[in-house]
Amino acid sequence: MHVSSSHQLVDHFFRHESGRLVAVLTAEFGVRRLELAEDAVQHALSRALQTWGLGGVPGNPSGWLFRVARNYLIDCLRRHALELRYQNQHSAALSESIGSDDVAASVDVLADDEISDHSLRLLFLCCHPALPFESRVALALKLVGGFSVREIATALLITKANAEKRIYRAMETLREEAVELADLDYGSMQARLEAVESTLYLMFNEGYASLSNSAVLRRDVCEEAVRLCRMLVEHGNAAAQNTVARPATFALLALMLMHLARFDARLSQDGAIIVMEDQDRGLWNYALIREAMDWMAASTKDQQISRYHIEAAIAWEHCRATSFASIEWQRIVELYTLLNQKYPSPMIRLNLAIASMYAIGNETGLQQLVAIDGKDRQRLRPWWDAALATVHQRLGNFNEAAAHFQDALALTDNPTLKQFFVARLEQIAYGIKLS
Amino acid sequence: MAKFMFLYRDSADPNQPQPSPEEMQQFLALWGDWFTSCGPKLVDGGDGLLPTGRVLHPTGDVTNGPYVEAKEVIGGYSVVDVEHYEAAVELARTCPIIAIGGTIEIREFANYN
Repeated sequence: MHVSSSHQLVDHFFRHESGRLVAVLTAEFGVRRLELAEDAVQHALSRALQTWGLGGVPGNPSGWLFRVARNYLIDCLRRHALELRYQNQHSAALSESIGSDDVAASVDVLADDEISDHSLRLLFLCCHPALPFESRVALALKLVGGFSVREIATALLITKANAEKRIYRAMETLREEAVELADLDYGSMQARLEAVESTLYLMFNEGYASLSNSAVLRRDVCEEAVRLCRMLVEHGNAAAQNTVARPATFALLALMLMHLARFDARLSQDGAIIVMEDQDRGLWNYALIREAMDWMAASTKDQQISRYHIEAAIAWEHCRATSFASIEWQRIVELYTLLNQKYPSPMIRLNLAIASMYAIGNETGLQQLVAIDGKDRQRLRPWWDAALATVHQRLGNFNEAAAHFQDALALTDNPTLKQFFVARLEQIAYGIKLS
Repeated sequence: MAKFMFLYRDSADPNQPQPSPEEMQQFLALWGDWFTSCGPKLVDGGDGLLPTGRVLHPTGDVTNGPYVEAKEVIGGYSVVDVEHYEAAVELARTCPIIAIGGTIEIREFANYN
């Protein structure tokens, strides 16, 4: 009777293990061998696929993968050193610098906090200031997250070629910068924390908002941002000193958890958008909301207010309301107003206008939406058009509403959005006024 | 009832895109589920065969091998007990390796012993 292997590995074990192994091997062999480390890990996973399927999962799957990957990497380096020695007599020193292939038993079993330390450093490496933001997200998803280029492209709704280019250029830059994981001491990690937070925030947003037709991968990207943020806040807690995270990091985690908690309610079974008014709060994950509350409490330890604090407070207004009707929109308007003062952006102006529509009235919402013009308006389309159409539909101005939904329809290729706009146009044709 | 050996070979297409770690794990789960679904028909789950090897030739020479094309290398085996070849083929059809472009060579045991 064959022991089924399907239930012995936790969800996403291969994906997360891939990230852990790349981090550990890069820490040992250096950033210039990062690609080789990736190859070694891919080799180990392929080998596991060949043998575990028929032979069952070994007792220590992590140790097994680490041994195979590390041996492969050392073999590659030896072969390369031998080639070099053949070409150049002076490379004896090179082959001496390669690790011994007597893998000590203790190396098999790295402590959990050692692994997460390497993984965290690898994440910080991916957020190097020389790298553009979108590249950091793609690189972190690949190296630390264990996502393939294809999965990244699908989740973020970019072409595979685009994803490959971002990653390739990012790796080139890292090579040029000649950084090492060991270079990242406590001080430099502190300095880079804000960049890491921004990267995780962007990663979450891309997964959340991409409207890619793979809901599974989008959710996986959001969960990865949360997982990495958790790694960030939990690092150093045991030692209780030199914790890398700060209150803003806790607020960021709370914010992401509150959005993730409501993820399943946003789309129907067929992948159609469900507006806030119609979302089923019974589908929310209250365990995540409770966890978010704890992190929000931790984030108020000192008086610093970051954008994540304010956005978390807004998310909290949504989460604590027992129904759509009981949302305190006036409070949300105050928070968006504050956010717009400190960190202005077109999207925040749009959200403020929509909140004002609910808090004060349709005419106010309309005025604020129309006031968003020029470049800001261009950056917001088709959401600006959709919001304007919605206000008109609420006011019973069906012709204007239909015209703006038609504009929105013409401005997007996204099937999910198109389906939503078409459904609203049908509502308007039936004279359905929203309240 | 008769015993048959399943000899598994990987996909023949070298240009097939690399599966992601997540996809590999899903494939592993499919193998486990398939074995479970075979039930008593599966006499021996078998094992994988590592891509290393030696070939001893009639001349007495030993070469590293098998150095044949990658798609011809046997990746593993299992043993099943079913009525006849048709039943063995039907069982093999449901194996996940087929879905990713692999092949299964089905050979009936001679029962010499």
